[in-house]
Formats: sequence, C-alpha cells, structure tokens
Amino acid sequence: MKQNLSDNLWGTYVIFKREFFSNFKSIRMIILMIIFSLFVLFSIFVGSFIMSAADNIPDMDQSLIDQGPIFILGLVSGFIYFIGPLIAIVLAFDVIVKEKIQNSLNFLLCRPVGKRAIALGKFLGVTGALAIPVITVNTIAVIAIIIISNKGIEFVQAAGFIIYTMIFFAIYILIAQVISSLAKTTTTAILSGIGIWFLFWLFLPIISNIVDNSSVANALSLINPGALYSNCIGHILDMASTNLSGEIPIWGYHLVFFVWLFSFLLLAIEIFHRKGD
Amino acid sequence: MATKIIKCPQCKNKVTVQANPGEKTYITCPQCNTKCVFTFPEEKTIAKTADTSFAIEVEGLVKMFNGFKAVDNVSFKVKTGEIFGFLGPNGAGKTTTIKMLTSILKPNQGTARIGGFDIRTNAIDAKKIIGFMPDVPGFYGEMKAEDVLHFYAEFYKIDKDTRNTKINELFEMMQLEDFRRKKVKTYSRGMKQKLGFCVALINDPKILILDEPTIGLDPQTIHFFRKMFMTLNQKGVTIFLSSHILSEVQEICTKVGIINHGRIIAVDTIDELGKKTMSRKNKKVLITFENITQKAIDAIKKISGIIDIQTNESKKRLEIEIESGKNIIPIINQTLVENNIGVNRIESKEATLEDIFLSLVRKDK
Repeated sequence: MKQNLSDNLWGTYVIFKREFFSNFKSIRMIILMIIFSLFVLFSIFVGSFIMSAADNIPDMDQSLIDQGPIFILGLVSGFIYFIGPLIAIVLAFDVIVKEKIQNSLNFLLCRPVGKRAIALGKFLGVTGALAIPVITVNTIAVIAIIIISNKGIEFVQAAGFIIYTMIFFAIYILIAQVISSLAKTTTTAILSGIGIWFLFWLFLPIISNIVDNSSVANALSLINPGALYSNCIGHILDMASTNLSGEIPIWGYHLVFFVWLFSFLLLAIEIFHRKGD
Repeated sequence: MATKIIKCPQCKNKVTVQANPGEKTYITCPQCNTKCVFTFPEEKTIAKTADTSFAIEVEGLVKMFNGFKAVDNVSFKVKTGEIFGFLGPNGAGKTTTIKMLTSILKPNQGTARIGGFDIRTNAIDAKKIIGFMPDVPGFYGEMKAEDVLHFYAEFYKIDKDTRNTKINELFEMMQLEDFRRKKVKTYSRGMKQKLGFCVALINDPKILILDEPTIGLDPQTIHFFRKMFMTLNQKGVTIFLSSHILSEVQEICTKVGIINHGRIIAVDTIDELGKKTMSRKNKKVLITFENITQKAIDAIKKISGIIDIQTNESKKRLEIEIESGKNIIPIINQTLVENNIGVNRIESKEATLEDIFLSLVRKDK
C-alpha cells in the first residue's frame, strides 16, 4: 500500500513534469498568453480612461470612480470572467483525447502508476504551466494599475484577485479535462468546452435576469463558476457594486467556489479512472 | 542482470557494472586499476517476481462493453521462459485480453497473475515487470526519440546514468542511433515500431507482451524483430505474442492459444494441436508435374475418396484432399500416367498452423 502510494506520487510527478514543459513551451500557450495580456491591457486602458473621463460620462456612479485602482481591477476581473474560461478550455480540451487519438495513452497506462495519479499529474501540469504566465500578467497588471491610478491596493485584495483568478482558470481546466476524458475526438471536446463556456458565460446569466426571482438567481449563481468568481472577487475587492443579494452569506460563495474546484478535481480524476481508456 | 554506473573510490572515474540486484561483484577501475567489491543494490521499484513457474496465469477473464462480451471466461497459463503465440480472427478479443493483462483495462470478472502479481490487487507491481508494445505504438510527436525513452524510463525510478546507458544500448540494438535526436513525428512506421520496442524494453521486463508487433512492416524489419524476440527469449524473457502472421507464430512460438468470439478454443503446442485437430481429418496431397490437362483432372475427380481438387494458376500443381483412411495415392498416380502426365513429385502435406487455426475457428463457428 505504502509502496503503491510512493509509485503513484512519483508517477504523478513524472506526468506533471511532462505536461508542464510541453504546455509551457507550446506555441498554443504563447498565443493564448498574448491574447490574455492584450485583454488585461485593454481592460486597464478602458478602466483608466473611464476614470479620467468620469466627469463627462452621464449617469456615472461616482462611488465606483472613487474606488480608483479597485475599480480598474474589478474591470480586469470582468474581462477575465469572459476570456479566462476560453483560455483554459483551449489549453486543456485535448489533454486526454489527444493521447487517445495518437495512441500514446496505452503506453502511459501500462506504466507503474494508477489512472487517478495520471489524471492528477495532467491537471497539475497544465495548471502549473498556465499559472506562471497568468500570475505574472496579473501581478504586472496590479502594479500597472497602482502606478496609473497613483493609489495603493491592499495586499490581501491584490493577492486575493490573483489567487481567485488562478482558481477560476483551474476550474475550467478541470471542466475541459472531464470533457477530454469523455470525448472521442478533439472536435467534440473543443465544441463541448465552448458550449459549456457559453452556458456559464451567457445562458445562465440571461436566465437569471429573465427569471424575476432572487432565490432562483441565487441558486443559478451558485452553479455558475463565473458568477461565483465575480461575487468572490467583488467581496475581496470590497466593491460598492456587486450583485450579492444578501440571501446567501458571502462566505457561502467562497465556500462553494472551493467546493467547485475540489468537486471538479475529484470528477476529473474519477471520470478518467472509469472512462479514460 | 542490471547495469549500473559507479564512481571509482580512488580516481572518481565512471565504471559500468553489471550484476543481479543484491549480488557482490569484483571490479577493477580501468583508469587507476583500483580493485574493489561492489554490492549491487536491490532494485527499489523493479519488483521481484513472485516464486512461480508461470509468467502469466489467466483465470476466467471477462470483459463487457455495453452488454457485449468481448472476452468471455478466458483462462490459460504461460510458462516462464516460453514464447506464447496468441491467435484469433479480427475482433476475437485478443487486444482486449492483452489490455487487461497490461492493466490498461479492468476486467469485469476473473483475474490474471503476471509474474505472480494479481492484476486486480497488485497492478502496479505487475506493470513493473512487463514490457508492452501495442500494434500501433503512439508517441508524443513533438518529442525527440531519446526524450520519449527518458520520459518512460523515469516511471521506473531508474537513475540518470543507468538510464543513459540503457537508452544508448537500446538505440544501438534497434539501429536508431542516428535518429535519436529527431522528433518522433518525422519517424517512419518501421522506426516508430522500433522505438515502441525500445519503450517496451526500457525497464528490462521479465515478460514482454506484444500485440501484433510486426503488422505493416517490410520483410527485412519483420526478420529483424523476429531475431530480436528470439534473442530476448534466450536471455530468459517470457514473450506473449499476438500475431496474425501464422508463419511467424509457427516459427518462433513454443505454445499457442487460440481465441474466437471472446473464448479460448485451444491452448497447446503446435504439434499437439496438429495431432488433435488434423488426425481425424482428411489428408492433403500435393502433386507437381510439367503440365496437366482438364481431362486428367476430370479423371482424378472420378476416383472414389477424392474430396476436393485445387489447381494453381500455372497448372503445374494439384492440391488434392483425400478422405480420411483411404489410400488412393497409387490410383491417382496411375490415372495421371494413363493421361500422359509426367509426375515430378507427390508429397503428403503436413498440417500447418494455418490449417490448425482455420480448422479450429471453422469448428467453433
């Protein structure tokens, strides 16, 4: 038992290393990170523009402008809410299905390592490879916002923004990995991934707005990682305008956000264990 | 026998040592001539094979896919040191059985022991002593061949020096030295197959499981692989070979198992299977001559006891199937002489593995 655990941990590390380096050095990652950086840059630009031209914008909520860098950071998180899931899905949609198609999965599965350890190694590898550029870009963004607005951001707020953004990416990497374990082709995997992104990004928020019932809206916000991310970031940044209704305690959103992460981690591991061959 | 590179205690020169794990070996440094004793460490991750005379023991394996029984209560044993041929028509359940033996798939029922390790309860130890080569080995195309081997070798916690030595040996053995730094996506089919074989051998396996390893290869490469299988078997490696090339199986396998519709229909040596399946069957006679006429063929067909006559395209050979127990070869010869056909040779055709295979599969239908 102890030996098996050590073999599995070692196997996870070997797979993590391969996934990390192959993703980190890939052209796909470079392109995705250029897109991500441009989005972050654009959102900072839009934020600082709004702040500088706030007096000329009719019906502008002055309390938002008063928040200064927090307002811009909130805007950045808004852009990440849109582009983040897509980046994670495009990076991880073929993490398993590609191995099935190119037949390398058989070689991997007959190594002295369990399937669960393989799934965990793959997730950690992809997430690790994505974490470095995402955390770097976000850190630079925070510094840039502080410089532009000439106002400080609390360390907890900056760290919270960076950590929660990374967890948001990790949840979508896990969603993509689940799809990848179930899919037979890369096309099915990417289309399903985009479908899920569309569901969470557009469909559920629309339903939430159409249904004029706060309980339903709250329930929908709990099953949508994007809504959870927005609410948690809103709380961390202590923004004046968040859509927290008050029916669910704020710690509930944080808790459910982490529950989402661990549930999808378990799901990705179990689905690969059962269906990944 | 394992290989390890150690540093000379005197001059720190690297010396290659070969011994069995746990064995003491006396070495002399080629650089400074220092003599010392080196106790070869017990391998941490390469599990010891349990005390068994059977390398593979399969008991009642069942695998279902959406209600369809792909493998149905399969049982057989492969002795240590044997080359076991695993035959069956397409879709018979060969690859599914192999995938269960290599722990790629989990059986629904039954189990198998690989070197004494149960694949259900001790799959990781079982996987440590096997080398597996699928019919179409797939690789990470963007990786260089040597990186592929390093990646798979790492799972066995083989230290870097030993790994390098092993990888050099494998590239040399497979004649891939010149291509080791090339990306795998640039490899030809034969080269990929050779690299797949390197991957299968990276952990010095005690049992080699090969799923149609020579499929789609040119005759030269097939010959190369066959020689390799024989060499490895002589070194004590048990080989489990699934193949469609029956002549290959007949040439190198000591025992065969035949699977059809997911069930094992025969397991024995080729000789024994031949005796069992062909003794009560009709006899085949091959006759070669200069040329034959239709009149002569018609005359032979009239002889009592003839079941079937096959002529080759050049009309220089007849394959005649004779009813069991009838000695009509002299009558056939006489008929040919009467028709002015000059007979070059008459021979009784022995049962080949193909005959045995076809006979068993037809019977099973």
